[in-house]
Amino acid sequence: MVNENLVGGLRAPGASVPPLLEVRNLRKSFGNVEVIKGVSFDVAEGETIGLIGSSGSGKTTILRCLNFITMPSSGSVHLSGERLGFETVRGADRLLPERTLAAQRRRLGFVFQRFNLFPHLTALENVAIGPQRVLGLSRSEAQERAAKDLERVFLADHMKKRPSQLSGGQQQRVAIARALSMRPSIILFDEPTSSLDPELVNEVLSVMQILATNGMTMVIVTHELGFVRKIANRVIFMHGGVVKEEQPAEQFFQNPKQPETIQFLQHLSQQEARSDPAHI
Amino acid sequence: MAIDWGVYVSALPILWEGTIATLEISFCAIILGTLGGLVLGILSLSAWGPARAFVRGYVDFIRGTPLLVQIFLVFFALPVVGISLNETWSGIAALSLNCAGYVSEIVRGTVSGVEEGQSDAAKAIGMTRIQTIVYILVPQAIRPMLPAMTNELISLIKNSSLLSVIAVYELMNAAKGIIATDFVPFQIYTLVAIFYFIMVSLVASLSRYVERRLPAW
Repeated sequence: MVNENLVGGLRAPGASVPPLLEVRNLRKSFGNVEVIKGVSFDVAEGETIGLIGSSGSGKTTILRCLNFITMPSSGSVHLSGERLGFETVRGADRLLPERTLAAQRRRLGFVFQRFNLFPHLTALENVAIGPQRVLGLSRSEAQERAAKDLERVFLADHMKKRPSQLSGGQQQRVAIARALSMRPSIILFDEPTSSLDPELVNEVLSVMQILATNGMTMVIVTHELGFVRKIANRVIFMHGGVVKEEQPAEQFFQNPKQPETIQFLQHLSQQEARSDPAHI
Repeated sequence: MAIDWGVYVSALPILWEGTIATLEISFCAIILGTLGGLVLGILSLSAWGPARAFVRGYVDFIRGTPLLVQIFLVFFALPVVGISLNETWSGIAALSLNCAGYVSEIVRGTVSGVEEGQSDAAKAIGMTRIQTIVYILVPQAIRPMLPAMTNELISLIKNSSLLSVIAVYELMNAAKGIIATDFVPFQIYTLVAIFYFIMVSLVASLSRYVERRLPAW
């Protein structure tokens, strides 16, 4: 699944393959407060994007607007060239019927900060319910697929357990398997490790790293900058509802250009230094 | 006043028959009313505006008019539109229609009380609103729904006594028959009260048993 047009994660200039995901001038207001103020970016197939920024900068809202869990106020999202959520009829944007929108959403996996597993279902059923009810697989086919996807996130031994019997890290891995089972073109991660105990963070990050290595296209909202530096091809830095800086990951961390970025990175590295026992 | 035990002895078999009839009628109305209420409740949570408006109007009507009036309406209106049911079935129909209105409100309340992130997660795997309600939200709402549902079922059993006005044979009607011949209203109504109380107590303890046995997560 390696994309020939990716050079160190950046599309080569003049590359003919269109981006997998195209976000154009996305805006979102809640009441009178505009949270997203016109955001545009592309994601190429196989790319891993780190979407970072201080809290309140609009990262999570952007992610939720990409698969229309939150309705954007304006702007457009295209996946493999297909407009998501809206169609243009006589120059005006019109919301697609719910059924069409639901069918489009299957193609974008979403992993939530608080896992949002279905508490009444076992791990296996949580993963199988999408393929069975949405993709129309038979019960046994869906469960077979779910079992394989749970193996991919190293939970083969926990399939029969309910979410309440699993640790946070295990629950989040079930959630990743649930997203994978729909065979999405891209997976969106909304702070996947933020509600985990520190010792459980790594088991989730290592699963995500394997996905990235296998060529899964991912957009990750996170505060784990070390992880972003390690696996992201590109970093998008949000500040006050706009994209302040967008760079290949290594360049972003070594040579940030915008004053807001520099301040953000300094602030975080100071925090890390404080919490690192070696510095005490 | 000397107690005439003979009255009780001769009344008991008749009241027992009436009790069986009350249980049969209530059982049918509970099944139909719960199913109807579930459908109405799901419609009231759907994304389809006209369906929500219909359910709202229906619930307003059921809540806003006395059950006694509804019983008469069903009994006299159904033959007009060409549906002829005997008095027992039109009584069951009236109780079911009434029950469905209240159950739909219970369903709507408890289902929308299921945590918000569940709808997001269901949307994210491409479920439609109806799929989300049926496969994700309703199963989680069953346990919190149970106490309110129990209240509704108890009301229904007690309300079935109103069907005696359209000559449905059930416990209350059986009692009226005994009183008309023996003229011992106090003794018979006391027995009737005890019979209803026992039925309701059984339903309440059955509900508590089911609630304990339902899986918690």
